[in-house]
Amino acid sequence: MSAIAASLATQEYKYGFTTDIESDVAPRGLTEDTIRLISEKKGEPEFMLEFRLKAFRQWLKMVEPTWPNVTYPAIDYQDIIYYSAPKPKKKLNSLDEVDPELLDTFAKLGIPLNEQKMLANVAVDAIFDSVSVATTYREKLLEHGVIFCSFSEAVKDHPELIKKYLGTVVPVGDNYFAALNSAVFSDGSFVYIPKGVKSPMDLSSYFRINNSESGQFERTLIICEEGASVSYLEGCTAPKFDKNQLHAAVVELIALDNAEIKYSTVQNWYAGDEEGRGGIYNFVTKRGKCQGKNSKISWTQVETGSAITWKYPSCVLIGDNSVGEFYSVALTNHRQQADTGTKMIHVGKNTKSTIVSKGISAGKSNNSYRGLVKVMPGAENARSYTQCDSMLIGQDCGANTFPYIEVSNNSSKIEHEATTSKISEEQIFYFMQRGIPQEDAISMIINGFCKEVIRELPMEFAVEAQRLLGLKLENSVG
Amino acid sequence: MKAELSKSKNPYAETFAEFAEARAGETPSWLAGKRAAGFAEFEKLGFPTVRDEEWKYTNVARVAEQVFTAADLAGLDLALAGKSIPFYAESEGARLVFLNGVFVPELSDTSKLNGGIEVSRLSDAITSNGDLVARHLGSLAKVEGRAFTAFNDAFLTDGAFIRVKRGQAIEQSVNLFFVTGPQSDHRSTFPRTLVVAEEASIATVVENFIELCDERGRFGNRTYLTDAVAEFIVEPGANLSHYKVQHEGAKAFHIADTHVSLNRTSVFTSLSIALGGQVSRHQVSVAFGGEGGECRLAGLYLTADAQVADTHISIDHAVPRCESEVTFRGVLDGKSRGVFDGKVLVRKDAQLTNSVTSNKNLLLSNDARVDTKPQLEIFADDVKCGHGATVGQLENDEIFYLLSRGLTPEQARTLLTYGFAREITDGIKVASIKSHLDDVIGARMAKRNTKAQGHDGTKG
Repeated sequence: MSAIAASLATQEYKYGFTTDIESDVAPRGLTEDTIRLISEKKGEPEFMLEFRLKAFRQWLKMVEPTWPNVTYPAIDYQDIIYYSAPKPKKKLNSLDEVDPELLDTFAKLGIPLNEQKMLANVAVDAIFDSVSVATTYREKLLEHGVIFCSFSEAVKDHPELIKKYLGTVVPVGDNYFAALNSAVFSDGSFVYIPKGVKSPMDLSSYFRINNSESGQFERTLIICEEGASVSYLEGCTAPKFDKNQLHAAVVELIALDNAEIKYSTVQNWYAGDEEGRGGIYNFVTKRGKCQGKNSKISWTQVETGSAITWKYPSCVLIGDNSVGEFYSVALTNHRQQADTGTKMIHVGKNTKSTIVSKGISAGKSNNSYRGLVKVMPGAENARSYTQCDSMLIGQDCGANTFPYIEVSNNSSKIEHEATTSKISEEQIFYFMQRGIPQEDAISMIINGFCKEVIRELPMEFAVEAQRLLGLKLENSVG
Repeated sequence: MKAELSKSKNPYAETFAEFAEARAGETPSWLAGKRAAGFAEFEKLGFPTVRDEEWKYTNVARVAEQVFTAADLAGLDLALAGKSIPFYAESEGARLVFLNGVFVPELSDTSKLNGGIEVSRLSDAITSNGDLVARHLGSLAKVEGRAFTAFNDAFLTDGAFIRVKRGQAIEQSVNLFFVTGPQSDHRSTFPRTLVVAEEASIATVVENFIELCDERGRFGNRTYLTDAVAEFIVEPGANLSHYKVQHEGAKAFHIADTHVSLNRTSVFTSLSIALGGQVSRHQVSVAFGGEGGECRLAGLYLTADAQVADTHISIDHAVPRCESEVTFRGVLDGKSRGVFDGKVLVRKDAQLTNSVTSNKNLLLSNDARVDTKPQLEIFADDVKCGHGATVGQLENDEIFYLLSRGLTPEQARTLLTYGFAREITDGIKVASIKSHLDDVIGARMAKRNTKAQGHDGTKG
């Protein structure tokens, strides 16, 4: 029908290798004993075990959600390994003691953990299967009072903070996958920024799934005290397996008065092959609570991986004048499915939210935006703006928009706009007659389409994201 | 609790058995079968609850918790009724009047129409146009999963039948009046409309759902249920205009299903006005069956007090090169609630589709509430689709501007509200509807201004 026909060449997933490392693995399946075992292995205090068991008991009563616009074979939750950690697991004093095999793995992924080589000004918490293997720049951060460590260490060293904040944004029974995570989560990152401190560097965590049979359930908790601010980055990859792996994470953000949290994600889990074999099921609950006045939480995500993405980073705007932002690019190709979006719950007065979502579907993929903007009666003068644009490349993909807008007072202003379009032949022609090859033209058009989101990313991530978008779509038009 | 009860044992089971028995042998056999199938589905489904995603924002528990009996004409003064039907006198062209669900020949008049169009009651058409009715009735309005459509099918007795003949352009509009009058408390009516616009024909159909006023022009205060179903078959090249005016009583329940099938290069234009009812819902389903079809749906819901007005649109672009445009505006006052759900589905082969949906809401009171959900599901790449939704109040700047020109705050607000609604009302080509609507907006604003002096939602 047109010069722009869809034919997709195999794009190698360059992070698809596995690391041969001896692991300490819990037996398959999930019972109360599994949870006790995880808790024991991690040497957790009693309150954590109680938290887990409470979540597990709730989970047993819940049913898996069927409302997302995705299809997948039923998951056998008894056929998953809920704990997998690289051996040996003695307490590490410095990076020198980290298994060189692991350091190599992360170096190969472009995340050098060696302090001389690593990216200046970004502290990294590297998480391999279920455990955090290394956290860089810890001492330097501590000088400023910033606590940045693995979740397990935080449970041991700062139980009062964990007790106070864990589960306050995403309650244990919030949804099926959050309950599962609360029961079995293994590790994750913990960030605490004290009053008035602006984190001297960007913090980041890098997640790697290695074991083909294990699920990854990590938990991230970020607390910003009054007037504090932090920019947090998250990246993820996984090896290529023909089996699907479950990744059910929970991220909780808490911003007190005048605090600001910026959370950026470049998600590049293994997406499965062209026929949709293998890939990660990315069922993630991310939510931020703008507890204090004038606080701000901003989510930026570039979602290019995973066989299935089910993810709605949300903001609960409780403090007066608080601000929630959501910038998202979701790209699906081959047989990927994405049902992603956000929820903005306006509770406080003069709260503002901005949603910019860009969906690109190619191949035989299906990409849905699902969002909720809810204005409670007390949220006087709330303001919300939503823009969601979709682009379709090829005739076999789908793009859907399901926005929910619920407004309960008359001083608020809510706007929502959505469009769907394609790359037109005129646009391509315009580039080509100026000597720019078609591939580059498409890449430029896509980058232009996503610009409003990409520019919200920190610089290193923005470069990575643009490169990823280009790679993922290579040969998809032409 | 009561709703639960009605699910286990349908309170209409006995009524239906009696109803079916009374009509045994009286109608063509397919009609009896259709009613039975409708009731079976209704019995299976029960009334929807808010747990049902499609009914998430509209609670019909109050319909489910009472048992409505069929309305009739007993004790009605027909001559008086004729005089007090709102904008009956102004209606030009042809009229069919159904009072409490019963056809009233004395008030109906089809004499002004020429031979290009057939307008009759459905029960007559079953005899005179048997095959046509059998082929089309229920062909679009499927009962599966739709409790109110099934309910209508079960108690289907009469309605309006319109057939616009091939190549005929009918200038006069056809006005259908579904009027509920006295003695209708806890009664129900099941209006049914079937319109077939044959190839290259042009016509206008107006559906009025109104509660009868008393001699002083006041509405009654009756709790009744109108469960209406309308089907429009628009054949190739035909151009059909449709108006729906819902001005039921303040305590009425109004659930209406409108189904449209569009063929090659045919055009369907519809304008829907919702003014009355404690709970009202209008569901429009449009299916494109031929290339080059065009569909324009517009509407205005004007609510106050504790009213709920729900609009559900579903447009199925199954074929290439069709256009759809959906424009709905809401003005909400008091503790009322507006619901809008607009779904556009573009199927895999429906390339070169153009579709725009827009829903704007004006909240006049701080207790009013809007839930809007415009949806797009797109499976073709060469399409242009968009939707927009807004919720807001009158701009203080605009009010200030008018105040600076010497208007009172009340006048300013009334003027701006008129302006907001005009985007829809300007599209009304039937003078009587337009003037009625202007009167209603004026009266509502006047009532509001006297009631809430300085106690309104706007600040400044």
